[in-house]
Amino acid sequence: MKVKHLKSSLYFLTLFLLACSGPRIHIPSAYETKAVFQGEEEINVGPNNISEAGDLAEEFPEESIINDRIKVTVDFTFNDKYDSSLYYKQYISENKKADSLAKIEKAKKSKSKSKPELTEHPIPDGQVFMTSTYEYEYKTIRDFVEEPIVLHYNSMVSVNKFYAKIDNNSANLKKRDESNDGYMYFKTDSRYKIYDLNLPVRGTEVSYEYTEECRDAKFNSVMYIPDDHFTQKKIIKIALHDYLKFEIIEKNFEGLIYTKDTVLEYPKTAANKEKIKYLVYTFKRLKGFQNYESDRGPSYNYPMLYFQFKSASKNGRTHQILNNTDDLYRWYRLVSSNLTNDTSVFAQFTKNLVKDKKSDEDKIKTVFYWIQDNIRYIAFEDGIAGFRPDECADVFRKRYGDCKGMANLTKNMLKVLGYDARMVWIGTKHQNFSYDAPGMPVDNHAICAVKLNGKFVFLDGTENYIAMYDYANRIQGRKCIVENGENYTIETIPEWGYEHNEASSIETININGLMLNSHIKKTYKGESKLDLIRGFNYLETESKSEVLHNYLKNNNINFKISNIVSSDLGNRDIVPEISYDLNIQNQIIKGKDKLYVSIEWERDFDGVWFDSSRRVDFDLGHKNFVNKVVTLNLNKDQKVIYLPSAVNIDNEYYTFKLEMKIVGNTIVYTKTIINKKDYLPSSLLKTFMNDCKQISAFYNSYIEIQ
Amino acid sequence: MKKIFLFPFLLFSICIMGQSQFEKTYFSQAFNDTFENESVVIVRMMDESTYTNYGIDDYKVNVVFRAQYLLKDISAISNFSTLLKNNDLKRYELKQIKPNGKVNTIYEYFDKNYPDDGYDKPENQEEDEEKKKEEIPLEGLEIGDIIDYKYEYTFTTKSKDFRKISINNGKFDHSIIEIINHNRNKYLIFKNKFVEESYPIANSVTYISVPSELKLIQKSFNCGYKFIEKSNAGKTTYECNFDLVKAFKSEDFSYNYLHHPVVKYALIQTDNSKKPNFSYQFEDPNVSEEDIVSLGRKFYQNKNYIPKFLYYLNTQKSSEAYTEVSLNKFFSAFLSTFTKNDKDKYSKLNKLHEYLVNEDELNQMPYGDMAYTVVMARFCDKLGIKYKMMASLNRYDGPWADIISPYEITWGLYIPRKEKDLYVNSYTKESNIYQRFGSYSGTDLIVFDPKDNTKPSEKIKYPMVSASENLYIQNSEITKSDDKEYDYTFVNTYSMSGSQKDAISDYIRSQFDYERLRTPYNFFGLVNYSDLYNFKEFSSNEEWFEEANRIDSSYRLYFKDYYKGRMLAFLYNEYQFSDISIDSMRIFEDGNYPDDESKDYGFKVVFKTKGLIEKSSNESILVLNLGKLMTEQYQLSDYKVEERISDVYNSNLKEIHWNNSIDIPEGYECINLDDFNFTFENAAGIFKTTATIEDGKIVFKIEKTYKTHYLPKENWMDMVNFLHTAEKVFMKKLILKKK
Repeated sequence: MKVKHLKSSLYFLTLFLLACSGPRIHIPSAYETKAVFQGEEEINVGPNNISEAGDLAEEFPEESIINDRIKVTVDFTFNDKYDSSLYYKQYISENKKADSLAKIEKAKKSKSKSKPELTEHPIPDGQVFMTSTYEYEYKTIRDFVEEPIVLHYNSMVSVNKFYAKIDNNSANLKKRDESNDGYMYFKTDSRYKIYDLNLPVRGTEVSYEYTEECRDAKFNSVMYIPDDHFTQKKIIKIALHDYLKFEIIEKNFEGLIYTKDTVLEYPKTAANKEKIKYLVYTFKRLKGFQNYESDRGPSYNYPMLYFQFKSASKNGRTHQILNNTDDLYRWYRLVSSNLTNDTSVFAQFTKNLVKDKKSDEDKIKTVFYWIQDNIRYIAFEDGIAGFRPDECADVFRKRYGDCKGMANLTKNMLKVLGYDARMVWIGTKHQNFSYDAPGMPVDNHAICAVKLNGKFVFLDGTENYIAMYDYANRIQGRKCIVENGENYTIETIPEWGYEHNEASSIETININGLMLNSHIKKTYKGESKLDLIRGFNYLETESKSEVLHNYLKNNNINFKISNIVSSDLGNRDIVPEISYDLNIQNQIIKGKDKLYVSIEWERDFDGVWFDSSRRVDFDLGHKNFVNKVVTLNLNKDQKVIYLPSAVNIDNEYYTFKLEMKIVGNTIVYTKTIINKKDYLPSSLLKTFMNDCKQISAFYNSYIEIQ
Repeated sequence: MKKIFLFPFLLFSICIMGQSQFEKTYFSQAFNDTFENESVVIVRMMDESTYTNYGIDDYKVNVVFRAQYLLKDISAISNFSTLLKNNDLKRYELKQIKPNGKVNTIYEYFDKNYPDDGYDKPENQEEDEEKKKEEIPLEGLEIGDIIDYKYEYTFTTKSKDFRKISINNGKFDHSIIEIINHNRNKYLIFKNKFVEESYPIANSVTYISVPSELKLIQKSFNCGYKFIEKSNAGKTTYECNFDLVKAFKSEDFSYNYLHHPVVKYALIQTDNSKKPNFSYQFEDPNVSEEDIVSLGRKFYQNKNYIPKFLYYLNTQKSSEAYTEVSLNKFFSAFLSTFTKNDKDKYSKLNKLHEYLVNEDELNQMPYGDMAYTVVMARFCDKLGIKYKMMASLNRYDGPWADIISPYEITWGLYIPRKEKDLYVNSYTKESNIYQRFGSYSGTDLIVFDPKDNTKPSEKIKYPMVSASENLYIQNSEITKSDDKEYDYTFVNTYSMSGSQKDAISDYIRSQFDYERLRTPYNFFGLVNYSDLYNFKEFSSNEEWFEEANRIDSSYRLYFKDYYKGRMLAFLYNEYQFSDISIDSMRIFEDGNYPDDESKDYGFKVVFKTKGLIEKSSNESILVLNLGKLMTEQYQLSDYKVEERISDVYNSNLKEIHWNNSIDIPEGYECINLDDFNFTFENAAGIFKTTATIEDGKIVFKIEKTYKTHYLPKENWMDMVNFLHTAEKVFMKKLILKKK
């Protein structure tokens, strides 16, 4: 042992000598190490920090770093050069033939080496500029932490003046600049500046700061309070200028520890030397963001400050910003106002498309379905393209577009046929904002509305295989702005109850020795129908039969499936039906004097598990309604000894009702599973999990037959 | 019903720049699409290679690949909605052909400065960003459209780097593989062309044009396709057409090359004055044993054939020539640095193997196995190990009579010993020299003395690797858990031999194994302790040592967590329980890099679970997922399972034993334990389970043996029934009833 220890000591001593000798060692580290290897300067990391970090690691088992302090200072500048709507009009006029792809290609070819072009058609400067300075101080509480600093920017928001220190030494971190092009269907001008940072020793202190400049404050109206990690203290200072009218709405503040004050201070950077009034929020012990699947969107659960910028007045000039929905609509109109909407390219095509259709409903439906089937959703959301619809002729020619482009083409094809079709701006359920406080995040989607028999029918071309009059869950019940020339109306998309999404199954089962012979008929409505037919129709032709076969038998080797008969799964106007026969093994167990029979193999919500630390709601995607009736025919000489105990749970969010009854010489099993809302609040997850255990117990129970 | 399409647009499109006469003619022909119910059909596909003389004895090769995909359903529109835009080769063209013949050019790229050898310039980050492949949307895409995709690149046969394109079944998934040719021998193409693609093909063609001194040799399998040779004005052309090829259908337990259409072809040098630089070739498609032996000896005896990668041990400057002296210098340094603790010469040889297989350059080399074999053979000489050079063919490569090129051979060493003979021919990571591989089981090996040309070669058999050599034993002691959150505590002990040692390598064994990294710490260059101290300073050596030790422990902890995570994934996959929590784990026998070749791989893991017991609403009944204790079974879909193209091959015979002992919950008795007493045997395998009560515990034992390397396709259902039987038992449940 001693020899081993000596060897180890010599080994580390050698490393130490090598480390001190500086130039002989290859240093692959990302950050500046000059000071260390000169051996002259003080280093802060030492036993004390390490020990403290160890304590924190115990307190925060899920964290690798802890923010000691974050300070955000927000200030505004009045844009003297802002030239109201003319500015937009001129800009759009110049770019009216803008084609996102072509423009981006052109931009790339001509781009300067120093600065990447983010978009060829940026959004012009707004009425008010917004500058935010971020200062971070954190320490690692574990060894081997890889924590790159990621700064987001785009054509509207720039980041600069980045400066970092590691253990009080300035750190020249290597920067990467990456785009946010995750996949082609949604391309934006978002980019990231990424500073790689690998911190091998716990207790390392890192500080950094940077400035974020937004050319139009209304695009920066959401400020989330938490950080990725636990934060001991966070200060947000917001400059309050007399010229700028805005309202700060505090959302999701329940349970926060914070103070709110106003102070008079000299601004750090302002040219004038007068004190400015600041609103100062000081938050303590802030929990970090959580990264869970199926959250409803950050605006539902995380505390935020929502800025509603109303107007700015200075030197006798007043700019309306977004005081109300009139302003919001005006802005939508403004960015769309120079569209030529030339329908000549597709007018004849559209008329031919509906020539055999007699009724208005059929004509509208034909156009709507053609859009779904032939226009692919591919979105270029860079710069002004994020707000201005593509020309309808371009979308028709390209056979692809984003939601606005598809809505605009739908509208104009219907107008060719003489219908009153309109553009509609809407916020999907992912956005927890409303027209009560208008702002840029309120609407994130566009659809078309057409008047039929005096009522609006809403048409969302991005929803493949959705039927007319049906609406995807994400827009159901949402308020929307429907264009009407200079005016607009606010409408509400119909919202369906859970019944709309009924997935029903009627089964008849016969016992054949130790086998079950079952005939099953399933029907699908609403979202359950959409899931089925959308998935099925996007399968490769040659794979369709196999996928359907495996889907229906749930890939269970104990099931033999035969006689599959389905309705036309390409027809979105009917309720799809599938019937088939199943021969099932292993569902009957033979005891000494009785049979144990299980007739449930579709175990909805079996084994549901949520992390107990989850603080965000669970998004179910849509409301559910599973409705199953099974009739088990008993042989004449069979007698039921035991039936599983019924489950009957009902609350505001869900219903679980499962029961079996003896009816004559049969057992009738009914299962009703309902999600009345399309989400489960985080406060209910534990209860839901426990309730699911009850249905698991039901599924695990056998019918006992003698 | 045949559908004939003749597109008028082709008359217009032939003026496009960058087309050979062959390409123009080929793409002006009508195609014949008889395929019904398909999403996509490749209506025409061309692979054209043109060899021209380059320098004194080299060739410049221009390769053009072009394919046209007919989109026939909405899924095809979705799949081809966006395509990758490339600019890393000489030429790319992407066009869209409408049913009316109109051609839309979507993307064209031509690099007039593209070097003959492909790109060789250093790349900086900014350029990388620009060169990043980008997806572009295809405009106006409709059913009936044809996507016309083409690329072109060049390389030369000079002994420099060159590039090769890998095409994934004709889909737009082109990865660039850099192949480094350090072997000072010029590379001429050998291809084992698999005719089928993931989409059916109406027609495709491979066309090769070469100077007259080059010759194509070929053999066809499972098809009648052949290259037709034509000569004209000092040029020879070879053309092979493939008509109405159905889409490739993947099958389990198959060697695709043995049962699907394949055309093997290779170019060879026939000019005697140039042959010395094209030494890795056979000159006749009917390759004899003598040809093979002679080739092996030629490389072994060539004193200049010292692969470049050895300089990594700092015994060789990269600019120096690689000589016999430098190889010996390397061996001496290697022996003094790494093999001190190795108890015998075989263990030392295994250490060199370990070093070589972790060299990525070796793995990327053309015929890297020859480089590996020569270096290992020279090291054997140094260690005094007797050996023979060995040429081997994998079972799925077919018999020796089928080969046409040295590229089909796997070179290695046959080392006869008092103990088990060694057959050293795998230089993959995670391997060792003691292993025997089922994929060579029973194959003919050609072995010979590489030094003495007068000694005759001989054919010996690679030993049959039996199922019992690849043994996997899992013993589980399953008792009621003390932790209320969980039902049971498992104490699992695993022991694995032969190929089964690799069976769980994805989960808990890897080259990152901490213990192996530590001694010596920089063996694989993965840990550099100096990194840990590059911004720290300590007031005393003691403080430094304390901190160094702490980091050392930390690193151990880091790897412990890392392995714990992998072990957890392994257990979830095996048992499919709802909740598993690991209490402890220990590797007690590391059979991966053994000092003793007979070592198995063994580990023990203690964990708690929820899910073995399923609680029901009937309090007098408990449901035990007993079947799951035989862990996850091979799953085989039963959709049209009886349809079989290929014979049935299984290179990895194995025997698996699960021995479980489970506490019966107090006051309960088993209802259907007999359901778990089961014996099944057929030509594919043996599956046997026994379930008994012993000392108040359920003792559930399972044995599963994959017993055959081969079944004719007529007996495929034997394999299906064997696998399905095991899968069904995996899903069986035991009912426990209150007494």
